[in-house]
Amino acid sequence: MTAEITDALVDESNEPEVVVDLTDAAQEPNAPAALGRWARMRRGLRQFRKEHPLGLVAGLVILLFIVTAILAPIVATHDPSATGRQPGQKLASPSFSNFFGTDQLGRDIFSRVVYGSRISLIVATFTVLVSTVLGTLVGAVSGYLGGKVDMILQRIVDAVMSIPVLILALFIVSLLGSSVTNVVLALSIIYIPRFARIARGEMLRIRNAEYVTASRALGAGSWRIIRGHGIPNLVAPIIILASLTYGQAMIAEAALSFLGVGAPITEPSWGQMLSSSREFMTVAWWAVVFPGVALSAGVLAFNLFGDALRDYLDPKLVQ
Amino acid sequence: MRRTNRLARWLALLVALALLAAACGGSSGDGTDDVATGDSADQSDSSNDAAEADDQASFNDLAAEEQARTGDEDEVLGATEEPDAEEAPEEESEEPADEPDAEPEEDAASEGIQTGGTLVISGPSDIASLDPLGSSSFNTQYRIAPIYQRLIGFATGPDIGYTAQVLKPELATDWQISDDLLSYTFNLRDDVFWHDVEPVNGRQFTSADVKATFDAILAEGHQASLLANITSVDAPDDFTVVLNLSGPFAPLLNNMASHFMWILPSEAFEDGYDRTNTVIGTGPFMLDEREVDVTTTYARNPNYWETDDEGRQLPYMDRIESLVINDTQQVIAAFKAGEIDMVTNTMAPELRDQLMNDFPEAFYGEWVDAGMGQVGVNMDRPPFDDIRVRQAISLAIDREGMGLTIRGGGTIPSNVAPALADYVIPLEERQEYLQYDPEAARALLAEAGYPDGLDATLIATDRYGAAYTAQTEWLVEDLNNAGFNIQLDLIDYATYFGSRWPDTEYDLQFGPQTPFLEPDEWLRLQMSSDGARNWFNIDDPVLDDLLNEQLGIVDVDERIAKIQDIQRYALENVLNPIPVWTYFTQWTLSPEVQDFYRHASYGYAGIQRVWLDEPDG
Repeated sequence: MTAEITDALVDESNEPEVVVDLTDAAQEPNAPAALGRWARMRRGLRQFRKEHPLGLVAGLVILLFIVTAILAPIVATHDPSATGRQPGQKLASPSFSNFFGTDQLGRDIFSRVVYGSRISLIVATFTVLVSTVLGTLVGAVSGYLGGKVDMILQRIVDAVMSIPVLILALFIVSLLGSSVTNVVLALSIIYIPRFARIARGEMLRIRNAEYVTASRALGAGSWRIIRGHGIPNLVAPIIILASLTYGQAMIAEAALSFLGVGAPITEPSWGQMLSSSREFMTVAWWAVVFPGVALSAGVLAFNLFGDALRDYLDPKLVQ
Repeated sequence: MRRTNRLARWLALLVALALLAAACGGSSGDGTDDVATGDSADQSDSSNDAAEADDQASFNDLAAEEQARTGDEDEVLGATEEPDAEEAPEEESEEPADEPDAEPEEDAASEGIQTGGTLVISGPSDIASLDPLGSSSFNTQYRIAPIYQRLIGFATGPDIGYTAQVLKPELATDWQISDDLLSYTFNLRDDVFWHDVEPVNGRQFTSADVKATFDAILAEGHQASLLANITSVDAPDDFTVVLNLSGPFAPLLNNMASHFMWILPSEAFEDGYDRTNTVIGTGPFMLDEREVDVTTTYARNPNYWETDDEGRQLPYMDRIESLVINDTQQVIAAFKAGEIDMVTNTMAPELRDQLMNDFPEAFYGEWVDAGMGQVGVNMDRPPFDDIRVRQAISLAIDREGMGLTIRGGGTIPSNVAPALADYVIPLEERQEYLQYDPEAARALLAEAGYPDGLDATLIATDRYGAAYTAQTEWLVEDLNNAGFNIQLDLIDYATYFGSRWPDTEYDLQFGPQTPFLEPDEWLRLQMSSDGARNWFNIDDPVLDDLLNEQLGIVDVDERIAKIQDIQRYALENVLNPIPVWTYFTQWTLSPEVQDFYRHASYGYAGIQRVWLDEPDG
């Protein structure tokens, strides 16, 4: 450790003033103004609302989904798995007692859509969380260290990215058995590489920045540089990617459930509802349309929100 | 770039909204009609009285319906909905002189049977193995049925019921039974030749083939129990086979006609060739091409031994094509477009009604299925060895709600399928034994030591189609409502049928049972302590004795009484497997298909006499 610091000092010793200057510059993005945290957030939100009204609407839709999922037992009008035992309860069209009609077992579709948002959001949230954390770490380490580590990690990333998403997900879930946890695991494995790619690219840029060189000269170790300079600079692109991945994870979960390898059939999920009602599309459109609309609305909201967020966080792209 | 993106998103949103609006608009009429139904049918759990009243009503409907479908099978078979398409040509061709003033359209049919053409059949699934000894799957049996034949077959025709067991010589010309019932002699046809395929190369069929087949079945076949009590098979000459028995075995002749009793050439054994993909038979059609899970095609056997009453060479048709299509909507579209002639897929009642409306000229056959759905209970795992727990399971199941909602009809079975109308106990008794009472189920569970509920894993597979999966969902909901805490393990078919169920690695199991055609198969095979299909660990000495006693009863009425007593004993004291529901099986035929009379056994009995109107059209 001491030797490393000494080396760094020796290497950079001919430009000591510059080191100090650039270290200050590196701090700058993390301390934009002397405003309080809340005030900054409010100002940011106002600006976001003004510049990206569509993004704000999308954000509200997302909020609505989250609230619905959390308060499902209150929002739902029926027990989502209670079957309709009386004549006429099967495939009944939308009415005041069943807002979205009933399915082929006489179950209330509205309540199932409401409960279905839970699985959709849980899977998407955990998938994005796991793949963001692990992907960013792998990418940052790979980009920063370079050399053999980078080569090996990037080839693994290449390999995973070369397999079509659904095929790989199907393979992993069939191997592990179908459960919500395994769907999260499978999708995380699939989405880690894209985060790793973005993180690595940013890291390559940052690694050669002068303030990093300076920091290294001051004796900062690899981990400290990745944590202190790398990751803070990665936040914006990763957040954008995460919000876009969120929608894709929702679709992937629905696709797996549609194929019968996602959530267990006893749990209401949108993909499984679409799959089991597809057969009745010509006699009961509502059994397919409502879960389909819920899924589309969710994915669209996340995509629009992701777009707006990208424009907001990275104004360079707008030009 | 960004602007284009946004524009595209807005457009997509607009299109989606337009689609939604179109969908809503299209069915608005139905929507308003059904609103009233929705309102009147109170979905809350409080209306128990109403539910009971409805139950009663549907029970009565059920009885009437069952009578209509099993009691008068002529009516069912002769096409309840579309009798003309099936019967007219036959009558015309038999007695053309009696009908001089027949309408021109029927006249055309009376000109006679047309030959040639391809019959296209659709079914929901397939299986890799075509080995009749290795696989008991219905998929195997249906695929090989046009190719192989048995010593005795089931007769089919306009006057013969779907489940009627009218025996008809096939590869045997006749048979004699010794007075002591210990020896069965079959005389074989001497004009039958195997398909001209390596390594059999079209040689003549002889008693050596029959002996080789039966010996192999006794040694390694899943169907060995159909030949119970047989000690040896003799072939005294080329066209005689003698079966020697250790004791009387009443079901033997019926078993000979079972869809598991195909006769194979002797080359098929002792590593002669791979039976899983080479199929060499004596039947009217030869295997042509096969791609598992996609299609199996058959070509006419030019050397087939059978001719029709007027001396014409059978079969009439040139080819059969069996397609695997699992998607009901796809099947319906293809059927309406004339791409499929025979649909063996079972459709949801709503879709079938819609199809009947759109395509009224087709034949919509419906029969009480020869099988049943049942819940198997693993009696090696406590507390499932406790009869009270099994009774609780049975009481928890709303059979009618399940069957009428999902299948649109059907009946409550006993441990013998209702299709075996003579042998099954009457419907009233079945209803009595298999009641729906979730409160009583809870009480029994509490009595058995589980007042706070009982955890259990239930295995099932989605391979049996959407309706069975829906029934599984319904079952789990019912059990959970009656104090069970069920974890559903929906596994693939190979694991389900290949290991978990037969190796009894489960608590509870749900699925259809093979449509056995002999009450002995339903009872002894499944419930005797050494039964080949006792995948439930049932071990009841009294039941074993009863099951063995019926084997020796040759008098039909006496045997029926005994079989019914066994069912009563089993439902009271064993209640495993727990009978759940028998639905109405459906086959749908295009108007071109003539002289096809469906039989409950696996396969297409009488396929050699089926012909296509306008085979080139």
